[in-house]
Amino acid sequence: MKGAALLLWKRSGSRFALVVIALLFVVAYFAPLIANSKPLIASHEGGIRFPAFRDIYPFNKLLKPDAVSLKLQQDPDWLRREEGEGRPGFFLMPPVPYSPLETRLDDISAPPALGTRHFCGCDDNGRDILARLLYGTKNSLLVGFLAVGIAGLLGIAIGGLGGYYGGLVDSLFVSRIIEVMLSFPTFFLIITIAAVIDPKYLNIYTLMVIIGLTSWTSVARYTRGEFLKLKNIDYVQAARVQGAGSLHVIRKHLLPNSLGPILVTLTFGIGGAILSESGLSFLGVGVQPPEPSWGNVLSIVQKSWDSWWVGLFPGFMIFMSVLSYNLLGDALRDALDPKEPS
Amino acid sequence: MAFFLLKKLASLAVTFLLITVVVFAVVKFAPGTPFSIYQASQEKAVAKMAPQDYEELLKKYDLDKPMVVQYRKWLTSLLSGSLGESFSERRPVAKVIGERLPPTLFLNFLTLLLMLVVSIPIGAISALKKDGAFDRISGGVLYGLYALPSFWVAVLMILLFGVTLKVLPFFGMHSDGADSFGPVRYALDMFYHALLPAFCMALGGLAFLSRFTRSTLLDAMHQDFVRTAKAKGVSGRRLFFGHVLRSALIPFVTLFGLILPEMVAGSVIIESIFSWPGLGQLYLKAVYTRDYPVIMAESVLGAFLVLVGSVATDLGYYAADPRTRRG
Repeated sequence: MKGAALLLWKRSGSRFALVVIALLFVVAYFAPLIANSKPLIASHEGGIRFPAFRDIYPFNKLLKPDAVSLKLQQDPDWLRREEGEGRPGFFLMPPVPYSPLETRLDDISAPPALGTRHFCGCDDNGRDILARLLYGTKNSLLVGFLAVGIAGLLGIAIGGLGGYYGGLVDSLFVSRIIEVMLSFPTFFLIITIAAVIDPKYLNIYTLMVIIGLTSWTSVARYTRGEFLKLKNIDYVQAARVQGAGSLHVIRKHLLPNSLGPILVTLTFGIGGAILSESGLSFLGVGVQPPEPSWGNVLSIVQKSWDSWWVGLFPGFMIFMSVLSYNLLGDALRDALDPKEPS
Repeated sequence: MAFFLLKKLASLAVTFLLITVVVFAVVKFAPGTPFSIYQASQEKAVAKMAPQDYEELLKKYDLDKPMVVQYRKWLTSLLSGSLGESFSERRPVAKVIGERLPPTLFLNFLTLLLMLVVSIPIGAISALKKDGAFDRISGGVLYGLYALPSFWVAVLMILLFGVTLKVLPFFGMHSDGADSFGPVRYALDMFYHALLPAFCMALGGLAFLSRFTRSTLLDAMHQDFVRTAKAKGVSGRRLFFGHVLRSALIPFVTLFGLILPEMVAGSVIIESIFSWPGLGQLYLKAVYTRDYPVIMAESVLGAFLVLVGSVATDLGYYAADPRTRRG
C-alpha cells in the first residue's frame, strides 16, 4: 500500500490531481476566511475581534456572533462606509470581502475587476461569483464523497451477494436489478426523482442520497465480477475446506482482494457524482438558490448571456474537480495493478 | 440461434416488466398529485379549486384508486399500445411524443454522424503512430474532454459563437419566419440551428469513441491473422483497410448499447439549454408540471430503446463474430 501511494505521487498527472483535491478541501473548510463580508481581524470598542473566524466550523456552532458581526448584520455597509471615511479603527478584510448570499444592488452583473475586488464578477442579483464558488465547494465535495459512499456500500452489498452466491440468487435477483438500473439513463432517473420531491426537501443531503441510490450499478458489477472470479481460486477454496464461514471468506479473502478495482470505480464515481449534482443544479432541480452550488451559479448565465463571467468560472471549477478525480482514478488503477509496474 | 434469441427475449420481458414497476413507483410515491397546486394554492394567480372539483379530477384520472389497481390499469393500456393522455396538454401522449421525436432524432443523428466522422480518423491515426506526437497530444486533449461537462461547453459555445461573434443561432430549431422559406433553405436553416447543440452533445462521446477506435485497432494489429497477412506480403493500405480496420469494427456494434442511454440523457440538458423542441425538453417540462403520463411514457420509451439497443448489440455480435456462436 505504501508503494502504491508512492507511485501515485510520482506520476505528474496524479500529483496535479492530489494537489487540486487537497486544495478543494482546504477551500471548502476555510471559505469563510477567504470570502466574507466580515473582517478577519477588527479592533472594535477597545478590543481585538476575529469575526470571520467565527464562521468556520466548529466555532460557528459554538460561539455567538460578536459585536462586530452583530453591527454588520444590522448595517451591512457600516465597514465600507468607515473605510471610505479614513478608518477610525483597524480592520483586516478577507481577500474577497463579500459573503456568498450578500446581494448588492450597485453590483448587479458587475464584471470582474481587481479594483472592486469582485475577481470573478457578480451575478444578476449582485452576489459575488467567487464567494459563491468558494462556498459551493463544500457542497460539491459533500455530494461527491457521500453519494459515492452510499453507492459503494449498496454496490458492494448487492454485487457481493450476486457474486458470492451465484446461481439463482444472481440470475433471478442481482443481475436483473443491475440490468434494470442500467436500462435507465441514470441522469434521467435522477432528474425524475429530484423533480418529484418537494423543493423544500431538495437540499444537498437528499441530492446525495438520490445520486447514491442511482449510481451503485458499476460498483455492483465490479464487485460481482471480482467475487465470481475469486471464489474459485485455490486459497479461497482452501479456507472453505478448513471450515471458514461465508462471512469470514467474504471479509478476509474476497473483499480485500477485490478492493482495488472497487476503489478505482469509486474514485471515478466521485467525479460522476459531482457532474450529476452540478447538472441537476444547473437544470434547477438540484441545490436551490440562494444556497450556492457550482451548477446553480452557472445556470444564471442563461438569464443574461451578456455576463460571460457567470458562464466561465463556475464551469471551470466543475471541470477541474472532475478532471482531478478522473486522473486520480486512472493513477490508482495503474498503481494497484500488480501486472503493470509503471 | 433460436434458443439464444428465446432466452434473451424472456429475460428481456422480465426486465421490461421490472422497469415499468420502477417507473410507476418513482412517479407515484412522490407526495402530492398534479392537481395539488390548484387545491392548496393561496396565491391569487391560481384560482383555488373547489373540493368537489378536485375529487372529480382525481376520479377522472383514476388517482383515487389503490396503487395496484392504478398500476394494472396503466400496464394493460401500455401493453395495448395506449400511452394515455397528457395532463398538461390534454392530448394523447403518443401524439405529443410523436411531435417531439423527429427533432430529437434529427439532433441525435447529426451528433452520431459528427462523432463517427471525427473520432474514427483520430483513433486510426493515433493507433497507426502509437506514442507519436499526434497520439500523445490527442490523447491528452481527449482525456480532458471526458471531464468536460456538456452544459459548460454549451454555455461557452453560446458565449463565443452566439453572443460574441454572433455567427451561430442558439435558440430553437428555426429562424423567425422559417415557414415561408423554400424547402432547401428550410432544411439548411434547421441544420444551421442544430450545429451548436449537436457539437456539444458529440463532445463526450467523441472522446470515448476515439480512444475506443484506437484501442480496438491496436488489438487488431496484433492478431495472428494480421501477422499472417503481413507475412504473405500484404502491405500498407491494403493491410490496414482490408484486415485491421475490418476486424476492428466488430466491437463498434457494442457501442450503440453504451452510447444510446448517454445520448438520451445528454439530450435533456442540451435540449433545454438550446430550447430544442425535442423529447428531452418535453421530459423536463413534464417533470416540472408533474405530467405523469408523459413522464412514465418517456421513461418506459427510453428504457425500451436501451433494451432494444442491447439486443441489437448481442445479435450484431452474433452475426459479426463467429466465435460467439460456440458454446
